[in-house]
Amino acid sequence: MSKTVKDAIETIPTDEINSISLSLVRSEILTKVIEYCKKHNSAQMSDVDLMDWDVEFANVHYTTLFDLVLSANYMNINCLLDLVCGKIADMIKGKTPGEIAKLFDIKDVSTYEEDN
Amino acid sequence: MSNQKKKHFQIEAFKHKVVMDPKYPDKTWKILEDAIHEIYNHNASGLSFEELYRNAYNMVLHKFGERLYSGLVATMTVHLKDIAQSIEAAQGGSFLEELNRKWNDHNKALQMIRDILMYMDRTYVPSARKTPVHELGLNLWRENVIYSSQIRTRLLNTLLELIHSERTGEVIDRGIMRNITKMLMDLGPSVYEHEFEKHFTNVSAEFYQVESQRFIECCDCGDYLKKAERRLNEEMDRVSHYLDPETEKKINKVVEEQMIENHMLRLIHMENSGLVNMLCDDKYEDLGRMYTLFRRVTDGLLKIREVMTSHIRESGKQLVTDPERLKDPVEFVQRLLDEKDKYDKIINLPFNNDKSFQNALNSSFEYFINLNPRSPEFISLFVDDKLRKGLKGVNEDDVEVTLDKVMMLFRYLQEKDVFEKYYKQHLAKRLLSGKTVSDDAERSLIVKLKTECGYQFTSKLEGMFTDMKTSQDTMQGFYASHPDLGDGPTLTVQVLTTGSWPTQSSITCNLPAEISALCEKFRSYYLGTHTGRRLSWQTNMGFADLKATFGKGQKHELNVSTYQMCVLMLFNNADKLSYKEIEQATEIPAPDLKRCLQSLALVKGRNVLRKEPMSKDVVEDDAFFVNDKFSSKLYKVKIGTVVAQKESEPEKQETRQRVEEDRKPQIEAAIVRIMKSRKQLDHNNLIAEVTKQLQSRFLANPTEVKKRIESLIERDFLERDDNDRKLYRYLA
Repeated sequence: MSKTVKDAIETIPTDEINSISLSLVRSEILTKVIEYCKKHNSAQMSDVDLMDWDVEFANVHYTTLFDLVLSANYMNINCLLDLVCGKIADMIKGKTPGEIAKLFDIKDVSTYEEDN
Repeated sequence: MSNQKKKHFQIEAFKHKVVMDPKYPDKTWKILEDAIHEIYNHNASGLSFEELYRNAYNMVLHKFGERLYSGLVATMTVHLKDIAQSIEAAQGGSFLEELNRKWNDHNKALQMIRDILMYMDRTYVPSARKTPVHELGLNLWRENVIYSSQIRTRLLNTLLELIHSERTGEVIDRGIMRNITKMLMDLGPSVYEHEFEKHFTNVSAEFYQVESQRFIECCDCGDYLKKAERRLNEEMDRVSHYLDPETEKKINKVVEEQMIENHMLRLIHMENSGLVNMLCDDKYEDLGRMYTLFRRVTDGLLKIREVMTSHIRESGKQLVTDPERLKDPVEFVQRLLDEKDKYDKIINLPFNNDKSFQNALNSSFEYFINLNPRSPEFISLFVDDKLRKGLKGVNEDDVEVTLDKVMMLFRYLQEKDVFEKYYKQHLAKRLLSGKTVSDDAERSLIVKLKTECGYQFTSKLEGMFTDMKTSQDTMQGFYASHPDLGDGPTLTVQVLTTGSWPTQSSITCNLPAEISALCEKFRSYYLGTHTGRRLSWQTNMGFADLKATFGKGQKHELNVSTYQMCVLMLFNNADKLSYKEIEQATEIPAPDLKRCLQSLALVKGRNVLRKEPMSKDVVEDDAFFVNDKFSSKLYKVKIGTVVAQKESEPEKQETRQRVEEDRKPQIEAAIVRIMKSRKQLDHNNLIAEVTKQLQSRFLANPTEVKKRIESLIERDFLERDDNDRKLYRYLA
């Protein structure tokens, strides 16, 4: 499911692959990711139940959500990425900038740097 | 939401700190650059995928994608330039191998690099509209290696040289060729075409031009075709092994053009081995090869067909106008059938049953068969021969086959009504002399004619068969009602309906007393049951069986014509008779009588009469005696059977005249039919319609049709329009 991991295994030829380091991913987050992947790989539940499970899964604190986004992006897991981004998008929908800042605890909204 | 500055959100990134010092991008890039070097130097195993991936990921995330990308381009280019140099340095044979090896290396490296830089490929590349990594790698290879001036031409030349060697019989390494061409194809759709294919087809064209010229000077047609076929197969084989499938049709076209199209006519007309020779000698294999090869080329088959047609027409024309051949009609027709068989086989096997060839054959046959006006007569004679004796002992299926073949020739005839006339004559003779081999065969042929030409054609012929049957019944009835005639001569009468049978002039002669009495009895019997009919004896068509005892006591049974019977019976009452006496007594017309006496007295082995003087001709002053010295090994002796012969000139003219006469009412009937339905029609169209209607019987002569129109106008069936002289109107 994770393309990055897949490539890691396949691309660089090493005699034995004991471990692949994922230094950008915290262990708690990795646990959640693994949980997600296992659930979706087994495909024992029906589509409707799976969707319910996904909703449950994404019902976490926003910091966890952000971490999940980054991890899914890094590890190249499209379905997880879609799920979590969707959840964040839902949270943002219909709110004013002020409300969003409050929701996500963003300080110093008025001062920021422009990115190139 | 109006603010001067644009707002956008920055999601707080990692919880752990990322070093954001200014040297960050350089350091990170260095790591990646080194990795790329290692990869190209086959040292990839020491690298950690995840580390490199992460670094590339970070660079892109922190907006250093541009740096990363341009770095990649630069690094790759450097490596590729090195590679190009090493390939250029390769000597002779190893040039292709080196190229191939380096290409494989490059591909492997490229894949690794792409995987490492996957994140950049996914995000930076599309948004900055750059070429994706894989494609970039191919493009750089193309620009730096393939298009390098030295390599470019050298590559092409090497490939072409190898192909040339293979063509001249050497074995080359096809695997490498395969890889190289595949490389060219992978580099872009037009690369293969421009770097290789274009030149390949040009060089091939030159090669085959030279080769075909060489071959055609020294080979005969069959050999040349074999060589051409082989070359074509070779090229197909070549394509399937190491060229792009798209090249197949291009190279085929080249070979076809050079080897076949350019020399088509020369091959066909080659002396002693060209198409005509192949046809004459039934060279099926060569013909088949020529057919399949020429089919690939425009107009190839057309040319073959043209030459074949003119050949058949020419040889057919010679056949039907050769006076030697025309002496024996049966042989003549048999030759025609043999020719047809021969060409049917040729078209069937090597020419693949090609319909257009079949049509050409049919039109040729139609053309030359009708060149000889006697063809209808001859075909009828052929049938006559078969039905008299030719089909004796032949089983049913073979009979059908023969008759079907005859029908084929019949279809080619334009003057079918002439055939009908002769056929009627010959059939009459066969039926009356009882000389037909098989009743079933006769009827089968009638059925075929009916299917072909309709009921009209055969109604009279069928009438003849009916008359024969009816006569049998009549005879049974006659003898049943006259039991007292059991001792006398046995009479068998065939009553012929006048309309059905070919008309003959009937001059009766004097029958011997016994016979004429018997005939009268029959006449009254017949007219008793069929009042209102008229019977006239056709004494020139009958025959008789006589029992004769000669001087030394030898007994024979003689089978003779009616006329001959009359003559012989006279000798029951006299030993010597002069010509004049015979003539007076029998009243047989002079020419018939002369022929009759000739057959009785002057034919060796059949001379039951003796003539004095022993001259060859019968003249008025001759005297005749019974030949007491007559002997024959057989008990039953047949004298002078009337066999259907080729007509003599005057007879021929007469028949033709009758045919012409018969056509007139048919033409008139057609004209009236057409005008009645159209009410009015102009001259040209009328002629066309009439010709079409009569086509199945004969070819209408426009002059004759015009005469018939005039005649109908005179008789007030049609009228001419007052304003337009060419327009006719129907008068009810």
